[in-house]
Amino acid sequence: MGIVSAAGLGLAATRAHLLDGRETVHTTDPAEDRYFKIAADLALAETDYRANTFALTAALEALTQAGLSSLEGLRVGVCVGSTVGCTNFQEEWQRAVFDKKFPDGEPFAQYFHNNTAQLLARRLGCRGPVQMLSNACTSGADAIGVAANWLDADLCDAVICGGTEVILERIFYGFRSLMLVAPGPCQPFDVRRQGLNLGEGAGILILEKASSPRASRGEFLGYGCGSDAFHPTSPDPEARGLDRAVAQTGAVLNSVDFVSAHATGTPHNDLAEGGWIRNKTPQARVVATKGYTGHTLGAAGAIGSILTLLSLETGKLPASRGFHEIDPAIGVEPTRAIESGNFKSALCLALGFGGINSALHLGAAQ
Amino acid sequence: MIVISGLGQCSALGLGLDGLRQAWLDGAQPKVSVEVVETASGPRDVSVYRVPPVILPPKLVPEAVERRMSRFARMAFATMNEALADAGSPAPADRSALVVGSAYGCLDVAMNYQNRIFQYEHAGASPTLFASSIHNSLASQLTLAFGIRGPNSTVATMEQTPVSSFRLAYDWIQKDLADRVVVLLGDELTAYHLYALSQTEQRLPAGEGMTAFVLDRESLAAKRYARLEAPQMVCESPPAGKVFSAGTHASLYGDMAIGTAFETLLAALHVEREGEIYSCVQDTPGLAQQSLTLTPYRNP
Repeated sequence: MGIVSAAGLGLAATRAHLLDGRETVHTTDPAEDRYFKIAADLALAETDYRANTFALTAALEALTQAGLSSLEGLRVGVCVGSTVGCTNFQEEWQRAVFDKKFPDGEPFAQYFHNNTAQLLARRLGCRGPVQMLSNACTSGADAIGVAANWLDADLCDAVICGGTEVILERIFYGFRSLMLVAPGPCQPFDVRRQGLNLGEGAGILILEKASSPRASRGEFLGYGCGSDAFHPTSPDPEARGLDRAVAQTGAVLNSVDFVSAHATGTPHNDLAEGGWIRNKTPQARVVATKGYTGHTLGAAGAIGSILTLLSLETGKLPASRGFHEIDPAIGVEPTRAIESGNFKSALCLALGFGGINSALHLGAAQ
Repeated sequence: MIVISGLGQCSALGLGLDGLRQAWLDGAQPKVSVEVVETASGPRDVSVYRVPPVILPPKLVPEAVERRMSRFARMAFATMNEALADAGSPAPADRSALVVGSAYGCLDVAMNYQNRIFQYEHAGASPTLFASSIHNSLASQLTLAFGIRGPNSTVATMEQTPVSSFRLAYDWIQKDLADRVVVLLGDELTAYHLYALSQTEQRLPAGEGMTAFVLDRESLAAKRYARLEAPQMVCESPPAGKVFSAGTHASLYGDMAIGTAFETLLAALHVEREGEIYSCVQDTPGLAQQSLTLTPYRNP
C-alpha cells in the first residue's frame, strides 16, 4: 500500500497521525482552512501532472511495501480512478486559449494520453490490462473492485490499483456553488455539520492473488456497485443504491466489525449513509476519516481502503476528527477517540456524485 | 454466454443503423464539413465529420431536462434509446447496468464551465454546469432516465477505452452483478479539439459520434447479433477470424480515439450478415495490444 494525503506522506506518517495520535508533517495549507492541500515542499515523484505525481509516489511506495522491486516476469495490470486525473486538462493551457494567446496545441492531446493509469503502466513497465475510471467519488473503490475481477479472471498476477485526485479551483468553486463546502473544518456525522472540505492525494494498493508468495497485509473479500437512479447530485435518502452495492460484496452484515464511512460531512450524504449504517450494521463501530484527509473525491475510496486495512492490521480505529455531537436524525456515533479491538472484517463505503455507490468488504490478513 | 442483442449509433451518417449500413454497403462516405479555426498564423481549415442535429423522441426525457441537455448528452440519449429499442424485452432495473466509455467525456460542458470562471471568477461557477461537467455526469443522467439500478461505470482510457469497457461489462455479467449491460461509447468534437487539430496535418476528417451495445445474458436475449467472447485486455493469442484494426473503416466515422467502438459495431453487423467470426484489434504505443472477438450466434 502507498498513500499521499493531507494526513501524511506515506504509510508510516499516516499511521502515526491517525492511529498513534501523533501529529506528523504538516501538509494542510496553513493559510487555507477550507481544503486540505498537499504542501509543496514534500518529496514526491516527478511527472508533468499533479494527479500523476501523487499516484506515482503512492505506487512506488506500494511496490516497495509489497516487496516488488522488479515486475520482470509478472503480468501486472494498472487500474486507477480519478475525477480529474483523466479529464480536466491544464487550466493554464485552457486559459491561454481563452485569452487568445494561441498556445501550442500539443499539450491538449498529451494530457489525455497521460491519464494516470496509462502513465503508470508506461513508467513502471506494466504489460497487463490498463484501465482508467472516472466515477466521481467512488472511482478509487471501483478501481480496486475491477482489479479483483481481473485477478479472478486470471488476466494478470498483480494489479496496481487505487485512486488519485487534485484540488482544482473549478472543482472547489463547483462544490461551493452547490453549497456543499463547509466554512470551517468538516464535521462528519455531527449534528452541526455544514459540508465538506476538499482534499487531494492518492491511495494505491497492490492486489495479488491469494496464492502469491509475498506477505499479505489484508484480504479483499468483495466488491459491489449500485446506482441510485434518483437525482443528479443528491443521494437516495433511502440509500437503495448503497444497499445493492453492499449486497454484492457478499458481506454478512452482522459480522462486520467496523464501517469506514464515506462521511463527507455534507447534510445529505451523512443522513443517507448514516441511516443505512444504523439500520443494517448496528453492531459495527463506525469511523469517519475526512477530518484528516479532506474529501479526496476520486481517491477517497482507495485512501479509505488503505486506512481500513491499517486498522485491520493494527487493531486500532482512529478518532473521527470533527465529530462532537450525535445527530438524532442519523443516530450514528462514530469513534470519538482511538479505539482498539480484534477486528476481522470491515466495510469501506463510497458514495458518488450522480448516484453511484460502491462498497468494499475487506478483511485482516490471515 | 453473452450476446450483443441491440445496437445503436449516431455519427455523421445520422442516427440509427440504416445510414451506416447503407454507406457501408454502397461504399459511400459522410459529408465532410470544413470548420475555420483562429490560430496565431491566421485562420486555418479543419475537416470534420459532424453529427447532424439530434432530435430526441418525445417523452424520452422531461422537456425541462431536454432544454438544458448538452449536445454530447443528446447524442448519448438518442443512441442508447435506439439500442434498447433494438434489443427489445426490457431487463429488470436492478439487473441492468451501464458502462459509458469516452476518451474526452463531456469536455464541451467542462470547458464552458471553466471559461465562465475565467470570465467571472468564482461568481461564474454555475451549479448546473458544474454538475454536468463531471466526467461521469452522463452515466448519472442515463441511469436516472433509463431506470438503471445495477452497477454503472465511466471508462476514460483513451484508445483503450472501447475494449476495456467491453471487458468491464463482460465481467459484470460473468460475476452475476447484472443480466444486461449497455455499453455506450462516444466522443464529441470540441473547439479545443479543432484548435489542436489546426496545428497538425490531418490524414482523415476528425470524427465524432456514439455507439451503443446492449449485452445480454444469452438465455434472456430477445435478439442476437453475435456472441461476445471474453474481451482480451492483453492479446495472448492471434485474434480469430477476419480482423478489423482501429481505423479500418474510419472513412465512415472519421478519426476518433474511440474508433474501435465503430469497428466493433461494424463487426457485429458483419457477423450477423455473414455468419463468420470477426475480431477488432487495438494497438496503443507502449502498451499491450487488445482485442475483441465476435462469433456467430447459433441456436443450441
